[in-house]
Parts: sequence; structure tokens; C-alpha cells
Amino acid sequence: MGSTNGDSNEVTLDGVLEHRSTRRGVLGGAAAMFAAGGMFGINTWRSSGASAATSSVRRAITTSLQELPADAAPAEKQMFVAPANLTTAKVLDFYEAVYERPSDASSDVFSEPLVRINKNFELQPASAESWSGSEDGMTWTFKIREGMMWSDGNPVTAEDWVATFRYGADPAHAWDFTWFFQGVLKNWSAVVAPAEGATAMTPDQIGVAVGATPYELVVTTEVPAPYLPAMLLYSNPLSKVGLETTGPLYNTNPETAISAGPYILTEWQKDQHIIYSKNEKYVGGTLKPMINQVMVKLAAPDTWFTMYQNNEIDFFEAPPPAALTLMMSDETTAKEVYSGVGDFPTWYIFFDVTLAPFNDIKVRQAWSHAIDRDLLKEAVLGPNGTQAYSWLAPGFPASQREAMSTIQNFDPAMAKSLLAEAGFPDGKDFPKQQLWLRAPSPLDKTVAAALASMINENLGIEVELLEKAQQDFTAALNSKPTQIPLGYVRYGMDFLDPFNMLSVWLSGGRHSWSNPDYDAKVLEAASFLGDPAERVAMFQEAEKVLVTDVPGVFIYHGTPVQLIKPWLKGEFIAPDANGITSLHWPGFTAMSTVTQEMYIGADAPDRS
Amino acid sequence: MAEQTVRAGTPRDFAALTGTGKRSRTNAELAFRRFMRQKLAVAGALLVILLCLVAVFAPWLAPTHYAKADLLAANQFPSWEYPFGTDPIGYNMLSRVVYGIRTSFTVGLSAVFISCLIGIPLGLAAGLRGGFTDFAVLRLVEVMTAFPGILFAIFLISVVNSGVMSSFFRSPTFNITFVIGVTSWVGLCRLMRAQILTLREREYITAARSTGANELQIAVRHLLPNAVPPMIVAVTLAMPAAIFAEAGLSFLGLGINEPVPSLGKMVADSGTYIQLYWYLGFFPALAIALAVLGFAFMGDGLRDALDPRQT
Repeated sequence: MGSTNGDSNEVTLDGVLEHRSTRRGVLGGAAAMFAAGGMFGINTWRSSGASAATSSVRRAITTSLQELPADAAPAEKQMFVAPANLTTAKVLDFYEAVYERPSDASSDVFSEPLVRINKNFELQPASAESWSGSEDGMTWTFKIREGMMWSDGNPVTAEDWVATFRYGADPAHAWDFTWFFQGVLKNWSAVVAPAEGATAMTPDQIGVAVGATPYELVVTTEVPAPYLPAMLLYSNPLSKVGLETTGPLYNTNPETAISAGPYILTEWQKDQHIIYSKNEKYVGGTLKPMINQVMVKLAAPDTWFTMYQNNEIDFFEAPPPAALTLMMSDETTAKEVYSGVGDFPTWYIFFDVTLAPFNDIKVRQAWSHAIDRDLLKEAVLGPNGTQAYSWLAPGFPASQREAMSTIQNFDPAMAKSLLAEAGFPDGKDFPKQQLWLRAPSPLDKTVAAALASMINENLGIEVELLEKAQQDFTAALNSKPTQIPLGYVRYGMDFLDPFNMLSVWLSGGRHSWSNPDYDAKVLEAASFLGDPAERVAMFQEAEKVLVTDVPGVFIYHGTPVQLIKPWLKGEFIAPDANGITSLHWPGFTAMSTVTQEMYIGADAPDRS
Repeated sequence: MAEQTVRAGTPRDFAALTGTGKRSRTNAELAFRRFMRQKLAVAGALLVILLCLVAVFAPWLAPTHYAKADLLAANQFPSWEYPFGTDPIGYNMLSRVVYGIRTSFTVGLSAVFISCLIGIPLGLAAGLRGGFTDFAVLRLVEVMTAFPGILFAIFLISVVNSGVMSSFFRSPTFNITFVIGVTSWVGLCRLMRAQILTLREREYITAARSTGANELQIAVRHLLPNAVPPMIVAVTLAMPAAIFAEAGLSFLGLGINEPVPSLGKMVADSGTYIQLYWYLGFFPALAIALAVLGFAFMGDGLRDALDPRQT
């Protein structure tokens, strides 16, 4: 910023004051650089087609595992391209870091989980060819398919899962998803979140062990867990040998990459793209993809729409509102717009209920009554979501939207009076708030700005928006005690059971709210082995406690809009049992059958 | 008529001495006339004055408060009702730009003020004292120059925003002002030092010294006043750099947080919408450009006007 002339003790006035042209040149150059870089997105400058390495890999691919239909592009051109957030995508394995994967695009393809789901969320065998639970629902035995091999020549055995789960539980690893298994897997909580004064257990004591044979995995739980097989959708193993020789990041470098899945990492150009190619050493597995390569383009979300319009990517989710308007305005492009239930996500504002002023329920209630969700839907959300007054999204088991819609309803007068009762009439003396956002997309920013504006208007409270990178947000959220006093985030389901969504709010989870009544109700219902209808009612009771105590203000249930190019063809886009057409959650991963239901049509642009 | 005391050196006594009745012009008046002769400089100055007025009177000029969202009026194109259109949550863009100019000017002026507070005394000390002080200041200047300005600012602001000394670094506006101020004093310091070094050798300083004035008197009565004109130019030209720096840092997401409007952040957020809602980025960018150009032209004009070689 300061002028940078050469230094000399003999200076004249002239020499020190820079020449007109230089200064203007600097300003002009800087302006030009900013204009160019800013207006067009620094990332779209890098028109990254495949590099030399990829081309040579591609030339070697001559077939797909499944026969290609007549209208498909040839095998060497079967490449699916999707974008991922440049700053977020750091690893590719679920058990390394859940929130640092390019999960919007594709990840977890380097091994097969025990089970997977199809587009109707139905559980199917994957690595596990069968499984069974004991009478009391606390011991689950998974029979691992024999014959699956890692690309380094080692067989896939139950040892790999044991090593992977132990790695997940290891406090030194500080995995960002440990809360998921808390209270479920035996001794898991004692390892990851030991109680005060109790001696911590070590990862080798968790309830995941090899059974009678190397191909038998035995999982023991703390409570009866009929939902355990569904939870184990999240069980892509890491290679035990890989963990021991290279370390858990072996899949961040093509030279150390190991895979037992249909793809293997062949290229990773930092800040540009990641490429997975057909794993020629894939044997004994259950997937038969037609796609032979996946390119994950790393770019800032603001640029994804431009990339989509230039045919640089085939698909992306959650287009910003303006992009959606543009797409819908033309008949041809409107056909590329799909909307589905995604993973039944709910977007919500959450409070750290242990800190003032949010430790006062009246304040929280005031906030819940100050949001006009109908207006939000009409003006901002459009097809991207529907109003949420409760936690479980419509279509999700045990959802009771209607019944819950009167508790956190929009009522500005009540909001004002509650806030006054709490000691902040018209927001006077209420500390200025910062709403933490997790790597917000353009739509998220708009919604958050609208929420801040509504709080300001209806309660007189000033709210500033803090945009945080995904890792920073997740780390701050998960730290104990949590470092986020006020935030806006989403949660979508992991498996189709009310216990899953409701477990997010259990004590010791990712939020600071702790309600013993809620915990008891949820856990009792989760392990209930009796009448399913009764189980649903028990969950609904629990949800009522959640909604009434307002540890979070529920804003909307997402119905993610996706843009899918017409040359992405196959069974994956056929309507599901509810008539919904979309690239179903969890997307292009070994956890889903989508991986083998998609192919590239012959009309796709050449990506060489 | 009361008797007028005639003091040596003023224009009035020139008239009295020569009896012509015409008074000569002071240097300031001459400089002003030179300045007014340059059309571009005058235009720049007028632009700056206009923008300053906008910044000062923002609450009265803006049709609505900058954080007043009218969701049902979102995404309106420019019209009589909304001269600059509305953004995706119905903020009136005219209000946002007006308050954005206010933010830019506040940050710019304060940052330049901080730079002056740091740079000028350091340069003065280095020029006057020489020896070790000069050595130390020069080395500090070299260290600062070694870092590319904007990268250093990005680094500093990330540190400051991450919660270090959070009782001091409380608001993003203060943080960014502080960072820009602390990274842009180098030019002013060097200029001041160079001025002092040059002026020190002038004959009238030798004369003053020989009549017994001490160093402080010389500095205050002779060096400083003569060093001021180039400093005015440098400070004027530091303004657009500060404004642009704030815009750049906010563009990168490191500066001001929503809903406080920042022109740079508005430009950044408009990127996704540029194909449809072009006005979201156009008007903030235009405002930045006008502010920077205004100061640049004005500064150029001042430099030409104040440069004594052109008398």
C-alpha cells in the first residue's frame, strides 16, 4: 500500500513523489485485476480440462463393468464431472473427516460400506452379504463377502472395519462425527467423551470386533439397536494395511492410494480438480458402474452456475435463486431443473443455551416467533424448501408438521412481549449478536440476511452475519464447550429412522442443549422393540419436547433443487416410489446404487 | 482608521512599501489558482466533495435504512421507485450504496489518519535525529516493504478477526481500519523523511541555525510547514488506496460483515447474479471507481499546484 521507491539518502522531491503514470498504472492495474478476478470468478479462469496424466489413464480404459446402452458415449469418455467447494474438499474418506469431503460431488468410492441404499432409501447388502441381530438387539453379526480385494493385493476382511472404527474413536484423531455413535456402540462414549472422573477407555475396547472368522464382524451396542444396520450405511472401511504403512491420509495422494471399490484416486491437482478412475483391480465387489471416471472440480460455489452453463460440469445442487430464475425462463433449460427431498434436511438457527441471553427460554421463544417463514418461502426460498416449525421434515418417519406448527409460529406481537418479559423491551440492551454461517452458498447468505433483517425488525436486535469456512465452523461447533453462541446450519438424515434425526439433539451431541426428559424419551423409543406405531408416537412426544424448549428455531425443510445436464442418463433419474426424479441422496458414492445407474450419453461434450 | 501594524513579510506591507495598492498573493493563493486551472483536478475535487457530503448526510439521503429488508420487493430492476434496484432480500440498493460510501470514507479516512499517526512522526524522527533513529526506522521500513502490501493485510486481518485480543479488536470496521492503517504508513514515512533530509540543507535553515534557533524550533517553524505541501498530496493519494484496500479485503470476505454495507462486499456477492441482476454489482463498483478516481485526480492536481518548481 505504501509507495515502494528505491531507497537513497540523496533524494529529490521529484524522485520521491512517484510519477503520474506509475501511480495511475498501479491503480489502473489493480482495478483491472480486481474487475477481472472478481467479476468472472477467479476460478473460472482455470479452464481445467483433463491433464496429460488423465488422458493417458483414459486411453487405457476400454470397457465399463456394465454393458453400455446404445446411446452411451464410448467407455473412455464415460466421465462424470461435478463441482466441490474449493476450500472444503480436503479428504476423500468418511472416516477421516466427514465435513472435509467433496460430498456434494462424489466421495467414499474407494471401498464398499457394509450396506447401501437405493433411491427409495431401501437397505441392501453391500460388503456385508447378510447380517443378523441377537434376541436382545445388542449384538449384530455381519457376514463379510469373501473375495473382495484391496488394490495393493490384500484381502478385505473384518480387520479393516475394526481398524477403521478404532481410528474413528481415537481421541488423537478428533474425528468430526464421533457424536453419531455415542450411546449406540459399546464403550464408544467412554472413549470419545468420557464422563467426569471416570477413566477413559481406549479405542481397542469399543464394541466392534472380528468374529469367529476373519470374514465375520461383530458389533455390540449399549442398548437394543434395531436401527444399527441402517446406521452402518456409514461404514466405508479404510485399509488396515494402508493405515499402518502410510497413515490415514493415504487417499490424498495417487501414489499411496489404495482402493477396494470401483474407483481409485488417479489425480489430485490442488485447488483444481480430483480425478477417480476405474479401479482395474476391483474384484469381488457388488457394484457395476458404467461411469469410468469421476472428476471433482474444485471451485468456489459462486462460480458453479457459470461452470454449469459452460458445460464444464454435469450437475450441481442448490443453484442460487437468480440462476434458478434464468434456468426456468427457458423451456429447454427448465427441463434440467429437478427437485427432490434430498436427505430430508432441516435448516435451523441454534443457540448456545448455556450462555446469556439465550439461557432464558423467553428469549429463545421470542426469536422463534419473530421469523415469518411464509414470507421467506414466498420471497426467497421458492422451490428450494418449505416452512419448518418442527424438526422432522414432511415425508420422514414420525414427522408431524401440522401438529407442531403452532409452537414456534410467527407471531411478532408475542415475540415482542416475550422479549420484554425477559428484560429487553424492544431489544434495548440486548447484546449485538453474530450469526455464524457454515460455508454459506448464495442461497444460504440470502436466507441468513433475511433472518437477520426479520429479527432486527420484529425484535429490535442487531444481528451480524459471520461467514465461516466449513472446517472452522465444524471444529468450533464440536468443541466442548461449543464455541458458537448463535449459528445457522442444517442437518439432514443419515438413515431413515426418527432416532437418527432426533439424536442430533441428545445431551453431549453437537449442541449444548441438554434435556434429560428428551434424552429419556428418544432413547426409550429408539430401543423399543414393540409395536411400530407406538414407537412412532413415543418419538413424536420427544419431538414435542424439542420444539417447545426451543434450543433451536426451525426455519425450513430443504427440498434441494438440482441442475442435471441432459446427457446424464440412466435408471438413476427414473422416478422413485414417490414419483420424485432427482440424483438421490447420498449421490455418487459407494453408499448408493446411483453409482451403477448412471451413464454419459453420446451427446455429452468432449472433455479431453 | 486605526494605525495598522506593519509586519515584515505580509502582502499588505508589500502594497504599503511599494505604494501600488495591489497586494501580492500568498503562496497558498497562488497554488489555489494553479489548481483551479486544471479542469480534471477540479472535477476530481468536486467529486470528492460530493461523495463526502453523501457520506456525511447518508442517513438523510438514503431512502431507507441500509438493513431494512422488504422481502416482497426483492430483485427489482432499477426504476423510479428503486433507482438502483433491490437485492435478493429487498434491500434498497440506493441506500446500500449511499451507506457503503459512508463506510468506505469512514474506513478510508480513519485508516489514512492512523497511517499518518504512525508514519509522519517516524519519518520526522528519522530525518531530524539521523544516526541510530534513522537506521532503525529505515530497517523497519525495509521490513514492511518486503511484504507485499495486500498479502500482509490479508494475513493481519485474519489474525485480528480470529479473536486475538478480542477486547481491542471488537468490531470488523475497526479491525479493517486498523489493519489498513498499520500496513500503509510506509510511503508517508519515507516521504516525510526525504522531505526533512532535503529541506535540512536549505539555506534558510542554515540561517536559522546560525541565529541561534534550536532543533525543535527549526523543526516546528521551518521544516514542518515546508514539508506540508507534498504531504498533503501524499495523504490525498493515500485515500483511494485505503478505500480500494477496504473494498478488496471486503471482497475477499475478510472485512466488514453483513448487514453493514461495504461496497467491496456488495461487488463480491453480486458475482453469482451478474447474468441477470447486473445492477447489484454495477452501482457499488461505480461508486468505488468514482471515489478512487476523484481522489486520484484531485491528488494529481494538488501535486502540480503545490510543486514550487512550476511557479
